[in-house]
Amino acid sequence: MSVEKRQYYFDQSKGMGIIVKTVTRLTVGIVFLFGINVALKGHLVPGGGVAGGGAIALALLSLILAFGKETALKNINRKRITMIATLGMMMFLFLGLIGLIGGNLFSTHFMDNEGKFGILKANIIPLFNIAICLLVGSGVYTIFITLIMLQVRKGSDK
Amino acid sequence: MLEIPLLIIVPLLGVFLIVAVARKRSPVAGIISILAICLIIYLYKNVLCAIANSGSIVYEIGGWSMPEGINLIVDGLAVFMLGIVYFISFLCLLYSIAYMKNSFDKWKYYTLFLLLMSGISGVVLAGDIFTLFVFLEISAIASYALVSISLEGGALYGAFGYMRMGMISSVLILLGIAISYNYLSTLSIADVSLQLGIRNQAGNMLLNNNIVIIFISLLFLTGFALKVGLVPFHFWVVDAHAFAPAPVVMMLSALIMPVLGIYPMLRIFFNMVGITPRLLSLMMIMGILSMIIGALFSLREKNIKRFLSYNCISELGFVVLGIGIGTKLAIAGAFLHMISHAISSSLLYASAGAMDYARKHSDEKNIDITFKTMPLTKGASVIGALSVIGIPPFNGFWSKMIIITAAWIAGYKGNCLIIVIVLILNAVSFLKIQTAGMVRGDKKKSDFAALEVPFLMRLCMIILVCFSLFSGILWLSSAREAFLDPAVKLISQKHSYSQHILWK
Amino acid sequence: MIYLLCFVLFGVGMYGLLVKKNIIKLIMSMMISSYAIHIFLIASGFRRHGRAPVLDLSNNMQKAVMVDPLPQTLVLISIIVGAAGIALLCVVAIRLYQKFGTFDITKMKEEIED
Repeated sequence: MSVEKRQYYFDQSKGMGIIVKTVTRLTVGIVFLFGINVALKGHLVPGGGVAGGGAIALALLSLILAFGKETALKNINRKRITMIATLGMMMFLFLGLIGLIGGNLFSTHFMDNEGKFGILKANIIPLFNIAICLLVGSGVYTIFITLIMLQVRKGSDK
Repeated sequence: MLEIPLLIIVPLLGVFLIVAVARKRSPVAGIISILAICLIIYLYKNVLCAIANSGSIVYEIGGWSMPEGINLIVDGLAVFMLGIVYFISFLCLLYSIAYMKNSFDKWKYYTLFLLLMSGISGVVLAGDIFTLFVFLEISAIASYALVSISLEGGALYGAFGYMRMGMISSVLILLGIAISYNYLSTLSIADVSLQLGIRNQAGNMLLNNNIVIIFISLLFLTGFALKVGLVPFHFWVVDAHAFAPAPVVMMLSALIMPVLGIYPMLRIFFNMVGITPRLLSLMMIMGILSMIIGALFSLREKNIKRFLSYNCISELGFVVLGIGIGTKLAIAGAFLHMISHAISSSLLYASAGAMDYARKHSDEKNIDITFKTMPLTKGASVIGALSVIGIPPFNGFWSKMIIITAAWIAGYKGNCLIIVIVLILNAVSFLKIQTAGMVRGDKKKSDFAALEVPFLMRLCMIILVCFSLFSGILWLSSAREAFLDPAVKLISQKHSYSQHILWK
Repeated sequence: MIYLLCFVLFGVGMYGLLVKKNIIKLIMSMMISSYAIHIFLIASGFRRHGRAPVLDLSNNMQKAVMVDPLPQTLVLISIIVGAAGIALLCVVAIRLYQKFGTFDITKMKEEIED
């Protein structure tokens, strides 16, 4: 750990105390991976894109809570996260539209349902789960940073 | 076939394209949304051709068949509503490109507009009540955001009142959906109707006296009446209309209130739970109350937007009254009045917005802008007013005459008297507000700079005036058979809907 | 029993929505009444000794005692839709507080009419 990083780490004015920062540093990765796990196994066990996306968004939010909004927003800014949300939704729509190509109906299961690979056993449902996971994770995060970035002052615009 | 989901998907694609591409370059946002609307209108034309042969089309998303899966259903009523929606929203978009030219963050406006379009298409096409609810919420949230888009104090306050009532209504609708799912274990509109029919025949219950069905009907009636702003629930309408930008108010009064309120009401009462005489008379009372109270309150108002919003309540009261009378002729009149309300109210709001625009963009701040310098706006406003009052060549006359005739034939002779009194009240209040607009500036014409609004706004008003003049044609036989009759037929024959949809 | 709880919660939410003046309390009442309906939906899908609604082909016997999966989906969607609405409401509430310096809607109305 470099000197500046260490100084920041002990700085009480930005974010919360050192205990919270350390615990957050250790757990964020695990929560993130858990979210991805829940999203990818959504077609086999209870869970799915929404739950996984929620877990991912909560991991990102705990970063904001522990380290203060300046640090967190410097790394994951609003424009980038909106682009990810758009990407997720576009992916969802295009997966639906692929079904139309063969003259089928919207969001038809277009792959052969042979089940050779573990993740493709449920046809396009895992892909939908991934899209939803991207969308929900970044969407919830966007909502919260929008609320955080509004400067609340009493009667400031009066 | 292919076009039906695309009616919902194309505006959504436009939304994401705007978010991805046009955040910095805001002229692109307008171009994208115009292109999206044009594409939708082209697709709608194809749907119209397809529906002419077969009567109704069921689109099964993902290949899941009728009662289980999510389905989009196109039939006469849906085609009719979509026609009004796309026509008015295309004109609104033209109008707003000129109106919103100098406003901040235009891409947000266009994003919300396209989201609203997608939501409204979804509401009209939805084949089960929960899909209908989800699209209802999408379009309602988009419209809350649109009302508050100017971020002024009044607009935010109006939007908050709108949201409060909208949230109450969506909670009530969701409760109705939950109870009906709990009772019948199905969500599809056609299937609910079928199950009710089966139980009715088996003698387990009588449709008219079953307490659960009555409770569900009352929940839905209250929820959707809140969305329309009928009289016991009309408090949000005026505040929401008073401060929002003009194109948004055009959408709100001409499309959002009828399509989110009256259309689901028709679908649910006539095609799903089955209409009863008690419900019909309840709807009739609500319609009459909102007509009278809207007209009386509009006498008092001086601000033109608040005045027009009371007037809008009264006009929607006419539509609900026509539905409440319940004969075939009355329902046809109600549909015709829905079109004529869409045209005349958007014409009135367009002219009011043009006055606002001129006031905002004039160089000298204290100049007294009247109708004198803007002959076209003045003409548009006068024609809109004449149409609302019901003077013969304009559209309002035909629809109101049909509703009066239907009420007379059905035996509600007191209602005819009330309608005539309301029309006289409308005439008085419009006369008052028009004279206030015309006479007040007693300066000469040369004192004012030429202040006519931009070309696109004028074009929009001219198109609306033309339609206001000629939409009486819709009652002629050939146009009526193509457009009005399928919708009326769908509503008036009650239980054949489910059989038509389920066993094609 | 649980249905009674739902209706009590719904009544509390509706009372708050119609009576309260404070914006934050209004938002909380909305959330309470919508959660009451979510509980109602989940309770309507409940089966005694039911298990998670994932189809397991190796074990066909248990298919009968699955809980009803549809209300859970409905609740999930309705939570997401409600969350979007609540977020928008929060933004509007914060903006209103910036403009007027109060959370009381009657005071706001007085200030607008002045």
